[in-house]
Amino acid sequence: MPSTFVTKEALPAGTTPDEVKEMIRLRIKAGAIRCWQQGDTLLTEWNVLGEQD
Amino acid sequence: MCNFRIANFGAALIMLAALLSGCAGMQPDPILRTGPGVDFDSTHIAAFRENQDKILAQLYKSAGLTLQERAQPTSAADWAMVINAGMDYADQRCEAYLHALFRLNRDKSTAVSQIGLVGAATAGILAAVKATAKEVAITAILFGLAASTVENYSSNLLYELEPSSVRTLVKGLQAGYRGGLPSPVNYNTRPASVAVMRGYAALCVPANIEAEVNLAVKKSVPSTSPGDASKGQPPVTTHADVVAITVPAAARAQVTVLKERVGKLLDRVAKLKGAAAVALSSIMPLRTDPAFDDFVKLRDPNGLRFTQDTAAVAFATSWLVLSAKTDDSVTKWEQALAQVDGS
Repeated sequence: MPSTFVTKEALPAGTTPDEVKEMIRLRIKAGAIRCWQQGDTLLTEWNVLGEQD
Repeated sequence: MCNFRIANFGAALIMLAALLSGCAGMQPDPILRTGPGVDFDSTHIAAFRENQDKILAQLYKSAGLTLQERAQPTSAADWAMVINAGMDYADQRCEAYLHALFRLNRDKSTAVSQIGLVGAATAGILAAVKATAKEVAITAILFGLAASTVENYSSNLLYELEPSSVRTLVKGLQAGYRGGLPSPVNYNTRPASVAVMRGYAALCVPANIEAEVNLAVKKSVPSTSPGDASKGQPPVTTHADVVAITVPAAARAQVTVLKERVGKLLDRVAKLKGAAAVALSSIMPLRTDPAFDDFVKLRDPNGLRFTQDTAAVAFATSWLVLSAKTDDSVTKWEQALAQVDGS
């Protein structure tokens, strides 16, 4: 079992850079390790609960 | 004042000398100077064989074989059962060692927060882990491994690594080893069978685990997402996308018309404590989403959200931003939270 994993969210066409920035901020606030855009996808890295104590 | 400083300096020197003399007293194992040697010692070989006889006699019993004294299996099928018994024993010792590593990691964190207990607790835990590691080492030695390859059980690296990663690594090696055995297992001599068991036991020896950790690090290749200057996006390079799952598509609405409601939800979830936080795990909104099960398996494989409020909050906030993307889904989150925080 990895200690981190990544979720992929398709970004709808027309999403502006500011909206992407806000989505990233929201995910970081929600506890993500990091979040970044890769083409038309928003990638978010999360830790596995209990394995990063 | 001056005399006081000199006295302190003198005391420090005495303590330093005492420490150094203690270090000097630690004589390394002679085999470290000589290596395993090229001459075979008949006394050592006799002791080695007698010890192996006793181990095999116990393994015959564990395998369910009834043999006359000093007799040994005559068929490959019987040796296969002995090999299986030996590997099961090695599994049991390895499991105890991995568990001790896990407890060390967790208890160490707890101990650090309890300053008054640090010394005693850490010393006790380390003693326990070293004892277990020593047993693993002894198991390997019993199967004929040179002591010098396994005696660094006091190494610090394994104590610092994430225990679940060590466990995954060892379990992967063991599964690979078992998968690499011929089918059916048809070793039909004592030396060959002992070699199979010895090789398996060696997988859990600290020296081997450390070597495999280093190899895994050397062989790992990160993936990189190129940067995009027009968006102010720097490059991202990571090893983390080994496991990736697709969740509901991002929605512009989440950061536009729903932004304020989602923000408030995040704040409310973050404030949950104790039973209220754990209760939310049982009524988690949008559990029927196809991505939910995959997300649960990766984010909270041990179900900590049902027993620990901090895990419950961490899980809920992450699932919230991944699932609350429409007016309807945000409403469901608001209804669920109203049940647990009463607002």
